[in-house]
Amino acid sequence: MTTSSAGPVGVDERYAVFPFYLCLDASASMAGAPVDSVNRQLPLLRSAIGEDPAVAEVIRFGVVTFNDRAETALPLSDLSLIEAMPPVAAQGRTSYAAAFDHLRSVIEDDYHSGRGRGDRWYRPAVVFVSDGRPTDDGERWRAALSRLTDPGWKRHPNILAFGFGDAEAGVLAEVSERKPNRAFIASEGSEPAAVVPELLSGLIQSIVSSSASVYTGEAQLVPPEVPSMVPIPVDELD
Amino acid sequence: MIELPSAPPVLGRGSPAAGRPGRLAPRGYGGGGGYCADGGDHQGWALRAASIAGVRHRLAGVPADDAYGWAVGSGGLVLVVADGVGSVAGSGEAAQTAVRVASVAGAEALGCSATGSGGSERATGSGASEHSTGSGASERSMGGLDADSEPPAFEPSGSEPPASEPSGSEPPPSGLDAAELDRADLDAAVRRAVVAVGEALRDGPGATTLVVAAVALDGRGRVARVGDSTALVLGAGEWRELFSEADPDGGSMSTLTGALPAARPEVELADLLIGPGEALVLVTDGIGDPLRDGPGTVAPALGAALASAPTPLGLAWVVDFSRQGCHDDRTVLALWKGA
Repeated sequence: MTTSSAGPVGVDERYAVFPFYLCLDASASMAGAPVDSVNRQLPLLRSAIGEDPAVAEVIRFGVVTFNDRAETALPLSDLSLIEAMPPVAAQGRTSYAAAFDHLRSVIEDDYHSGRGRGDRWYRPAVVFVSDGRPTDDGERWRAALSRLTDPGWKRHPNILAFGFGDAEAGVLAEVSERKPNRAFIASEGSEPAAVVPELLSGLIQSIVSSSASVYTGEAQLVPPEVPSMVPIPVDELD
Repeated sequence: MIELPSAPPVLGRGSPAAGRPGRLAPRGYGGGGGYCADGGDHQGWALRAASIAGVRHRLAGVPADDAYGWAVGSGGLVLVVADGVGSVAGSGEAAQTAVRVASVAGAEALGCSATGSGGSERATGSGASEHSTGSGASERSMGGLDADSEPPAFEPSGSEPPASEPSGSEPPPSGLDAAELDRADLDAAVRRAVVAVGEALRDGPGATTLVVAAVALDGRGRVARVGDSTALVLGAGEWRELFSEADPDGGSMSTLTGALPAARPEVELADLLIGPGEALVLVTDGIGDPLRDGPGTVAPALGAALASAPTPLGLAWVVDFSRQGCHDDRTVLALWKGA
């Protein structure tokens, strides 16, 4: 038993928000049908989320793309205030390290910017999508992932990882910290051009369901349902 | 500041009787719907309750998962608020079961006749009154409840909080006639209530938070909670939490909450003294969160609106305030002490 000190209510005016980051592989292997599909689907996501006030009130959505380096394609935004989604172009290699380092930096900056506006954050969600293996050194990208998922960093996100094409199930399981039902890989024989629209459509539902959970007072990250993808089993160590 | 409707409209010749305060029913329960409001006066106390479905639930045509209940007798009152865990099926019903079970069990432990002397289970009323001052000190027990309670449905862990006066609490006021209940009675009542809810919900379905208060007619009280439904004291327009909450500056928000049933529930306990100018206010997190997040808006507005007991419908009206991102179900059960 401990004695806790209760006291006055809070001192800062705040509004709860649930940040979602789409971290999208934009390497050369995504060129053609996959990236074309991304560019068709992102505006649909914008309208589906942005035009539903009950969802848009609490969801903040950003897009990070990565190849040899990573960049913020869409800053964390209220989608009801965004008129168009940025086009995504595919080129270069697949640096997971660049993606993870950039995400860590962006999340930290966004958190403090949001606090300045009076945001109160739920733990951010990262939806990581890749069609390939990391092309950077394993030690390097794993170190970057450790910094992103460091439990000592209070803003560390929950990560959902999705892979198709040449993506490796084992790598995706690592990216999602080997948590159950957090990593998914395309079923054998699935075409990337078919997987991408399913994935982004599922992401819309994931965001809507996750926002609904916020409104019940128990925020949860609800994984997308993607028919052509299967959960990656998580090994038990003991 | 919010201006509450002070009385219903008068159509034609007004009814003088309609303006009289309503008598509090011996028991009352509400919630689980779209809009609920209730209340009445009892031996100088004014009780008001309101529970509304959150925006999201209303838009989807889904009833609220919140519930409230009370039981009143000769020695004191038991007040209960519960918030069904939305992600668990059957939790709205669990919350309704919880408020019924807890209020009856708590009242029985107080020696109250929770069945009362007939009449409906609900009454509406208006009016009230003066208020009193309060103080509180809280304790936390990881899964520990037994003492005078029924055998628990869950395994206690850790040490049992003793029913002794914690440091920082104030002694009961002197010179009050109704101080028949001592602190051990009040403590036993809230413990009994929590244990009874754990038993009632043990086989599911559903799960719920719970906050239960046992209040003697002289204003002393004891509060127990499991989860993030909570109790506050309102006095002179200022809110004071009876339980400490997670540090909002500690980084990303935690969304974890305790709930019943649980094998090892985290039960928190606090003492209470409702003094002049104060009210005890039990709330679900649909009110507690915006109250903490809106220290310049929600807290002062609700503080002013609830400076004295509103009509039940007035309470429901103000509880239905609009605020970005605040779409959870909302429930308030408040108790003002009259002259």
